[in-house]
Amino acid sequence: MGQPTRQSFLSASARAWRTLSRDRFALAGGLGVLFFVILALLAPVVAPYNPNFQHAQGLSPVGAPRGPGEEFIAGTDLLGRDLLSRLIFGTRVSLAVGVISSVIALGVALLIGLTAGYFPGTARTVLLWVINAVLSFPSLLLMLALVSVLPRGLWVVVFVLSVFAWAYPARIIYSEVLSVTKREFVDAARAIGAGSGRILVQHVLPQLVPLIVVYFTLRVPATILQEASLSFLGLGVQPPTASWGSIIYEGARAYRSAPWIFLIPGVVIACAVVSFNLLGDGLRDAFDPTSSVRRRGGS
Amino acid sequence: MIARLVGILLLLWVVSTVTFVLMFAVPQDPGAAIAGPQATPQVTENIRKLLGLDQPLYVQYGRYLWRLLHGDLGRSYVFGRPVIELIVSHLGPSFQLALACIIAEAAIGLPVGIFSAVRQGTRFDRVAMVGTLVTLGLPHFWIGLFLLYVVGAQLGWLPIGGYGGARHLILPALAVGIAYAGWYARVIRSTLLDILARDYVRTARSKGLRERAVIIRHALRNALIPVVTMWGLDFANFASGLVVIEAVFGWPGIGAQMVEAVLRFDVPLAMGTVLVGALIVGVVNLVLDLIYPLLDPRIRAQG
Repeated sequence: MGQPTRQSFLSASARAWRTLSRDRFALAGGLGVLFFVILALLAPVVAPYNPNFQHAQGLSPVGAPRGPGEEFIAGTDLLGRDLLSRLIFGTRVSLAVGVISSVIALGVALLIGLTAGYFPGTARTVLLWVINAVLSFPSLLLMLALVSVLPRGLWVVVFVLSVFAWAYPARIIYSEVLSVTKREFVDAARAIGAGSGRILVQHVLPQLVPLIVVYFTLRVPATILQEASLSFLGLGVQPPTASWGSIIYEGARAYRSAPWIFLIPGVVIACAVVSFNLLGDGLRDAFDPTSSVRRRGGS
Repeated sequence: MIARLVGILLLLWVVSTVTFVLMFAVPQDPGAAIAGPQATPQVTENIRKLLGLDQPLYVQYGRYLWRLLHGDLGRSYVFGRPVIELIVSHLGPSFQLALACIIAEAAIGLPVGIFSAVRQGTRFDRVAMVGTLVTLGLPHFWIGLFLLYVVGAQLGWLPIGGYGGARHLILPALAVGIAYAGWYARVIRSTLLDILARDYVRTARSKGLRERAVIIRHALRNALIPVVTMWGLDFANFASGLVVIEAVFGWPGIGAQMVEAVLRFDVPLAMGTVLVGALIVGVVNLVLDLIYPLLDPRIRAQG
């Protein structure tokens, strides 16, 4: 009885692919995402300089940073480092934080959503209560509180950004599991003696793939913005490591005399976030043509 | 109603337990933090005794909850004053800013979204929707910096930060307004489009009402209901922590104070702010639940 499930999923994904390939906005988003991923992977090859090297000629005789020009295409920052190289290496950090913490958040969400959706009784009641409690936390304040007691650094940022982010997708996955398990093929699988584990992995999980793919694609840009906020407060990645947010943080000190330092990374962030959002919205429309209302993916 | 109140109390208890655990997770000894680097071990020990840090954990937890019930959030390590005093003195500016921000986001987002829906498919609609995509992709603090740079520094029209009258409110509120107006534009647009296809709108049109009257009197009133929910949630979120924007503009709200507390490892102040934030979110949600039936007769009918 595994066949019908898999087949219907395949044909659904084939149909989705057809819709997606005709959606110009989604394709543009996909290309954007591809661009940033390649940029992050090839950072050492693409970047013109070492991102942390303080160039002697990167500062004017009075110590002011250089504006965009021939030698430093995007200019230099307050320490005479090449801004373009920092942006390219920052792509690595910002993207990695976005992707890793989204993977963690969705992994936890999947575990909890599946458990709550498939096993009724106390487990469900408790898990739903926890989900709702986490959803009503003042999450930004609690994230900051966590940062205040933890050592600063990249992995703390990843942890803090995932620790509350799982609740919303967990609730979505929960209700999806609830509706999937009511379908006939699950009854059929149970009738031929499949155990809970087998039903969950072989029959329920494949049905959740579209939901997870869409939510992941929309979660990454939300996380990128949150990482930028944390780094902008000086609580994210620590110097000299560059992330898009930390470059803005450093540039904010000289926003009048050297505006390019904060302006350029903002535009880069917007490009990345818009790309991911376009791709995510396109994927959602492709998987489910009836849903066109954009959901708020967390702020 | 009572269930909701119990829910808020439960939430506050959970949050306070989390903050208690976090305070104990601090690798740094609070006694040493208050005494300062030059203190003798004896002084540090005395402070630990004074704070009850030498007691077993469950005693400390009990005392902590007991004090919370009496509105005592402890003393700030950095300022040496009661945390509750510090927070209360920053609540006013936070509420002011939150109010200005939700006004700004609705004032920008709703007209754009309504016009987009009414003129669906026109160039205005397309430009507006691409515009919301872009503004929602920009970090809100970046928009704040951008406004500071252009309007504050280059044009010199408005003060570049700090606390004061309405003139100081404009830029931070505008920054948040521009950043989140996109959600309002999109929600009101899609709700309106949905409503404009309904039967009662067709009836209103067919009895000869002018399009303006149909939209304002019949469609818009219903379309505004989801917006009110967003508004309330945003107000709660903003009042409990427009952290980054307050930091950018040097606005003396609880968000900016929180950042300072975190940067200076002032754990009691940070945890106190979290608790007050949770309280604000809970209370605003409760108020929302109360005013919802007033707005939507369908909910009233269900009881």
